[in-house]
Amino acid sequence: MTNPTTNLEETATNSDAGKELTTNSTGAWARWKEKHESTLRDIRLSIHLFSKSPLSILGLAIVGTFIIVALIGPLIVPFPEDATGTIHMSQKLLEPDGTFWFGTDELGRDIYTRVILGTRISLKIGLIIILIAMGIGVPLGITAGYVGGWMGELIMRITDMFLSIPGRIFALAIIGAMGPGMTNSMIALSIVWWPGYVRLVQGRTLSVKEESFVEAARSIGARKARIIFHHILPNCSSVILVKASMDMGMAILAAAGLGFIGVGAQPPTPEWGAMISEGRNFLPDWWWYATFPGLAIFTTVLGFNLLGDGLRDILDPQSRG
Amino acid sequence: MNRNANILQIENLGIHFDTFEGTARVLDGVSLELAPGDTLGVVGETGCGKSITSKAVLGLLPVPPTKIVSGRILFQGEDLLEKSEKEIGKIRGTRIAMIFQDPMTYLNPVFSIEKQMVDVIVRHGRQRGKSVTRKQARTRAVELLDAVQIPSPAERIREYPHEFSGGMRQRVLIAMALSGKPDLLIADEPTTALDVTIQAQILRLLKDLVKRFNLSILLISHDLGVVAKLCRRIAVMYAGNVVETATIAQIFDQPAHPYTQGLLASIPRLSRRVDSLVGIKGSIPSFIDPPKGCRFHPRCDHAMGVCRKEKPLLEETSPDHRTACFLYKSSWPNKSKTSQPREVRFG
Amino acid sequence: MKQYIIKRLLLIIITLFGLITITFIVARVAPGDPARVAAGPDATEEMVQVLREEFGLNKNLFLQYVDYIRGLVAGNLGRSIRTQHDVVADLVRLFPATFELTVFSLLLAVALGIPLGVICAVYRDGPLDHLARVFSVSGLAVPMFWLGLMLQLIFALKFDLFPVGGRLGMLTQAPPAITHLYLIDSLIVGKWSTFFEALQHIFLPAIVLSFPALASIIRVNRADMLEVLNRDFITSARAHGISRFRIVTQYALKNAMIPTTTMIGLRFGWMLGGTILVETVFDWPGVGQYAVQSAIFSDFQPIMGVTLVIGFSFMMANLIIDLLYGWLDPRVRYD
Repeated sequence: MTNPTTNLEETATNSDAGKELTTNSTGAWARWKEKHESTLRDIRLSIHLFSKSPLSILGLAIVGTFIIVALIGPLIVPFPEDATGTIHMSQKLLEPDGTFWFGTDELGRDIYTRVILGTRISLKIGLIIILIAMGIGVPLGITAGYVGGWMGELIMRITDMFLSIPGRIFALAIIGAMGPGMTNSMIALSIVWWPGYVRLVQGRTLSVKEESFVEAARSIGARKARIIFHHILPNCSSVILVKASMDMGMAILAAAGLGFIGVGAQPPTPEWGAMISEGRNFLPDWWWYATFPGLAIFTTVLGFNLLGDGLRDILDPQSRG
Repeated sequence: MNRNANILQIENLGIHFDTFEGTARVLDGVSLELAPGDTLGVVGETGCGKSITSKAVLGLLPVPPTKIVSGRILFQGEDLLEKSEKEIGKIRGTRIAMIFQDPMTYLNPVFSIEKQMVDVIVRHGRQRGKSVTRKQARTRAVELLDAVQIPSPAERIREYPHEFSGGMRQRVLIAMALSGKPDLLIADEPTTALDVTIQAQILRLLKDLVKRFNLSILLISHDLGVVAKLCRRIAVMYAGNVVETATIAQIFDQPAHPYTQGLLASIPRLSRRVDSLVGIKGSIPSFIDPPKGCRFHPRCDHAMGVCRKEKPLLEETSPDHRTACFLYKSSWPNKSKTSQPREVRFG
Repeated sequence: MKQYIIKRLLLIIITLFGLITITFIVARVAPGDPARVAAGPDATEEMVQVLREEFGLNKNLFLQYVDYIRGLVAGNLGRSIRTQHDVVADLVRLFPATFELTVFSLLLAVALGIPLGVICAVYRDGPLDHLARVFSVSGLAVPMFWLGLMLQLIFALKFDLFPVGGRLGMLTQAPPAITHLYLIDSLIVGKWSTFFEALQHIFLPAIVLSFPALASIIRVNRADMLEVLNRDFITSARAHGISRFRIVTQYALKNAMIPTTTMIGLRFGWMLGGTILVETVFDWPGVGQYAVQSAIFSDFQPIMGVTLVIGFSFMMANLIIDLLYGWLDPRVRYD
């Protein structure tokens, strides 16, 4: 334990030095930090907890790599022209070697290149599905939870209806009606995904609504919109974030599945599911064609699952399993 | 009293508990004695270690993170801490039985009372070498429910725990505990979760059972009143130590340890005008970094130099009355026996 | 309780109607011309028009809907452009295969998953526990169709241990159609060789279909068991001397099964959806494969039919699960 007087002296010296360096902007920064001190502390605690779990770090690393590859993919691939359309029949179906790390397909295209480029496609698909699903589901969920009444009932009944059929089948039905294609598969999967968010957010809104700070806000006459944005939404955000990160992986998986059966992205687009579908024709002798895109899917989804798990452990520790 | 005749004798029990903040020294040398057919109440604040002591007897503490670091638990002369899990298993229910605090959570919600009681009775029979059929066990279970005054036991036995009231559930648990004809019953806060009127009923029931079956009872409670109704002797615990043991009369008439005095003084009496509530200053210490010497000294009005350095042991201060406090050591020159604690104002 | 079942069945019917309506709206309102897609890229305008008329696509949306519902009530689910059969006939022919596969997979997942979850909870942090944890995290990330292909590659094509696809070998005769489930029918008539062959054929697809469910069940059951084993009544049972085995397998497990059952219900739904992938990979002649091929051809009526059948199966399964709760947890009230 330090001598109290020494401590005071130190503090005095520090603030003197601080005063010399203070400019207006630093003052504003210091004020902002003070205002959000508890939030900052929460963030620091979350980071500390998160970093204790090696699996969560692994998940974060995988997802980070995935995003980076998706963004800079076209710049780093060895054979960018193999994205679509090119044909090099002389080098078709080559085994993986030094030049073609994942081998080549039946049109002589480098599979490694196409897998890397497929990353961007998968990221796009997953992101769009989740964003649309959240965009529809979260507002509906908050409405159903906060406003309630007959509108809330109606929303929940419709949501239940959507959730009473396995998602893949429903998506297939929608695509069957709309016709195959990447855009259609994204629309179909978004339609299948939003009810999950309604249920989650409605439940959360209901419990937040009962909290005393909401009652307090209402009693001083705060407008509904303010209560929703200022109180309800922030308290839902952690569960939404956890669900979204786990859903990213699942959405990519679902889209790849549709691509595999032929109703998603169509060749020659280098979508992972479609590639596996093509590669299926070349088993067992040219095994690499179907294997590597699958490994890419597995790794990516694993990364999102681990990340989602890790986020859930720090943001929402009560709900396990 | 001949020590070897005691049905239960806990000697210098020390238990540590591993937490991520460090090792909590929850029991710091606890010693208790219970004679056959006698009733001993262990009293103390929440967190003083009385529950842990009671659970240690039947080996119900999870090891790890709990670690037994010292002491013996002698039951009918044998050290239970030396026994294997299998041997303790033989004793559970048949020679020592236990009832707990909240009868709702201590009964399995998805099984009927019949199933739970029959399982126990059949098992006890097996331990004694008699094979009891489930039908015989059911009959016995109904008899037991009758003995604890559950109305219409033959019908109610088929019901589930949530269909019983709190008091009834505790009776069921008592019936289950007695089904093995134990010699010792450990009751860990059996009335805490119950209404006051039901409390009285349960205590009366227990008193009745003690007489009928010559049971020895170890009662744990934070409520002096409950202990006073049922027990002949009382042990006061504080922060992992037993600080005083005596008969009920002695405790109420001549509390020796300052903590006991504080406890008694803090009970508001309706017969006296109360100007201010009396409390004991300070709060219970951390078990990870407990005070050196006597663990009570930071809160004690009579703390002396030696209290900060050495730990007082339980010593006889008058017949059958033991106290762990340096105020009573005859070799100390400034011996003073104060019985009036200072009033402390709240707020 | 009977009232409850009736209420639920009514709810199922209403929900199915709602589903049809929603799918209809989405399908017809969405951009795309099913008749054109069905006719194919070489069709002339006239051919597309003929198809349109034949499938009532030229009528007003509401009339189409009414037509469909009327047909549905009469037991007619339309015709498949692709197979040229009535959808009902197709479904009746193909559903038993899907039923057999999904039920077998579910039993596999439950029979393996629950004991493993219990063992992992009891021997927490042991080697099996770590292995199971790795498995359950990766089990949900593996694409089912890819896993199927890999298993085919290794066990069927490379090592010839299992067949590549189908329910029975090409030359084997199917057992007499009593339940239409090959495994059961062959056992009933005592045809052992057929039984083993059917078992060989169902094995790989069942492993693939049950994989994610197995991973989930192990994980959830383990977590539930750990939570229940910490509860007070377990301490009480120990104090009474109840054996550890009985405590784990009866006292704890029955309590842990309550939330685990919910997960099983959810996973069964995913399994039903997964048939579209697994049946395709293993050439399993069920409604999943039927739906996929219909979707590629934009053959709408069969897809609608499969949606109804699978939707109905899922809702019935959920009803059975809800009734199961009543048996597991006596506190549950049906009202």
